Amino acid sequence: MDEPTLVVEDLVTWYLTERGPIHAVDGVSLAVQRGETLALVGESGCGKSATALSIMRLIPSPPGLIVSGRVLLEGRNLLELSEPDMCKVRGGDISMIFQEPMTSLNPVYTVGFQVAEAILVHHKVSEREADKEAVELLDRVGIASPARRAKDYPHQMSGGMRQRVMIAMALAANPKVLIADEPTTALDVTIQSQILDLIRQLQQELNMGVLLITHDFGIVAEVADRVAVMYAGQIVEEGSTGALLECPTHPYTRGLISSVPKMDDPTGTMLYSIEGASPNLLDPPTGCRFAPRCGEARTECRECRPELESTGDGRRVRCLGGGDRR
Amino acid sequence: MKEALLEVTDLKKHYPVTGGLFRRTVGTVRAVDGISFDVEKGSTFGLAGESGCGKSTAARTILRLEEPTSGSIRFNGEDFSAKGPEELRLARTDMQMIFQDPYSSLNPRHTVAKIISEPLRVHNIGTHAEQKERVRHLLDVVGLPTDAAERYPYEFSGGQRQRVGIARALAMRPKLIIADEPVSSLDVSIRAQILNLLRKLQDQFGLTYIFIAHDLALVKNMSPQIGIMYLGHLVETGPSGQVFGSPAHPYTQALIAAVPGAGIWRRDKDRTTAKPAAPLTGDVPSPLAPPPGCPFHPRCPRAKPDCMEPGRPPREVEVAPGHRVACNYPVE
Repeated sequence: MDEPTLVVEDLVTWYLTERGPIHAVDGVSLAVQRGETLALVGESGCGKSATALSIMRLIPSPPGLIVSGRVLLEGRNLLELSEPDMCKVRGGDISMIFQEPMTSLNPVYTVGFQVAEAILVHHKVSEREADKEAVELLDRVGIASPARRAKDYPHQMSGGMRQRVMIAMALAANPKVLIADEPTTALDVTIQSQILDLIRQLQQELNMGVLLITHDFGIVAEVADRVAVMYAGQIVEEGSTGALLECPTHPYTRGLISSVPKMDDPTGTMLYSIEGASPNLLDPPTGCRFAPRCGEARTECRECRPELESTGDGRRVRCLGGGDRR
Repeated sequence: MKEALLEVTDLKKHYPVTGGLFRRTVGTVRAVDGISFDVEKGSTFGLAGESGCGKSTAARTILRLEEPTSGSIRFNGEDFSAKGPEELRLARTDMQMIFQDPYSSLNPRHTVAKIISEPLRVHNIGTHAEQKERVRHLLDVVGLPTDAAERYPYEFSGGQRQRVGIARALAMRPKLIIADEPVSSLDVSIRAQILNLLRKLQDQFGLTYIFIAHDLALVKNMSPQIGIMYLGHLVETGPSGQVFGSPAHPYTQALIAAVPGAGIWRRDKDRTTAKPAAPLTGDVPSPLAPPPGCPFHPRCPRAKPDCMEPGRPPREVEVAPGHRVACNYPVE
């Protein structure tokens, strides 16, 4: 097996508040190979975006603080780089696209200018060449009549088009890893499927590793090779997409998957619901973080913290019950 | 056929667009452009479609929060669209709405008790003590603790706030509730709680729902009857099993195919939805300048020259009992 491009080891990130640290990311380890898509799934506040921002060292500090851990890009620890070196990594070796393409683009510059700017930052080319490359990139992300659209301002484009521009900017420097944080959440389904297709196609062409952050298991099923499910700052289960969706073992994963309405369910199917709400990460539960909401929790679950343990076949699960299989 | 609580016929809502020196009308946004459907008493009618298709405007126009441009709305056997202001005020107590965003639809300065009892106060129903008792009962019905009454919205999570919104909608004992994307701002594990609650309340109080959402699986789960909207038109209506099982409109077909991950969820033996269609290209056109003829023709893989003829809307066909489609060349 190839050496993974991006490796995150035991990452711990806190948000410091007056009432104490919020344990947003609490010992997350993951690895992304070239050409592979790893989906990081979870509900809001589970720490999936904080993980991505920590990898990019974009956690606003203060209040954010990367407490410990390592982020290795081809063996180089990004957490030890100087800020100027890190700037070369961002948008260079690792690119990121965000949920809301309107707020991520500058409204007062044309999209062609913004894509060219991304090229100029990472490549020694003339402005004219950068403009030309920008048009090529816009073409590559499926924007029709790219030379004309390059002169458009972001507000003249639809949401799907803007997300294509964001992707063009992210690809400007041929990144090794693309981090996509809910890239289609703001888009309609028909546009969403176009963007997902585009990401998949470009990933194959460029042999990128993709870390896809989402809350939607449908998207996971569609594009991910492997999945890591996060709950309350920790990865609770990890495995290949097919195996994990077919046979989820952690009670949280199982609950989450069965609470989503499926297209093939007949009308009126009662949905499984996980009672309660996610814990407050200022003061997380002492034992298993899911124990207060878990239907299968035993006494030891409330006292001992489970570790993420391998169960074979590249699967890992964090459950004292061993993750009973259905 | 059971009795219809709500009959909507050829409902239109157009907005003038003004511009120029004298703010003349320079165009019309045809947000809702002639939709017709019935909602059975005690049942749920689902409205699905992408953003900007007019599903929310349709809901607001049915409640006459927006005055309809034309068309008729019959509610409980009476002509709701012709009512004068005072009659309308009284009739509206039978219809309530649940909104998408439980953060902006609750007044942050009011206690939960005040929010839930507001409709009772507006309509002068009951004494203060009776209103208080009603709030206590409603909190219990939606699964909130009694002490929630004296607290403020910010003290609650999104799911709990949506429960407050539901309690407020129930305060007037309405017959019809329009739920506009009631769970789309909530987390996955919370959504199921709210959906199951809505279903329980429907059984308990015999409520009729119009359930609006962009998530097809969600609409199917909640609604025996559904309508698919595109650019202000209802392109397909019918029993949800039918519409999803054998979609007749190319748009419905493409919409179903675009639902991510449907392939992995289902095993072939329990496949009840249609085979995937080719993905749609392009964007939804602007409702300010809708394409002539069939509004879907620029994106339609089946479009023929007569679909593009100005002034010729697509033919409406009943492909199966109760399953209607507005398309010249429906999918067999």
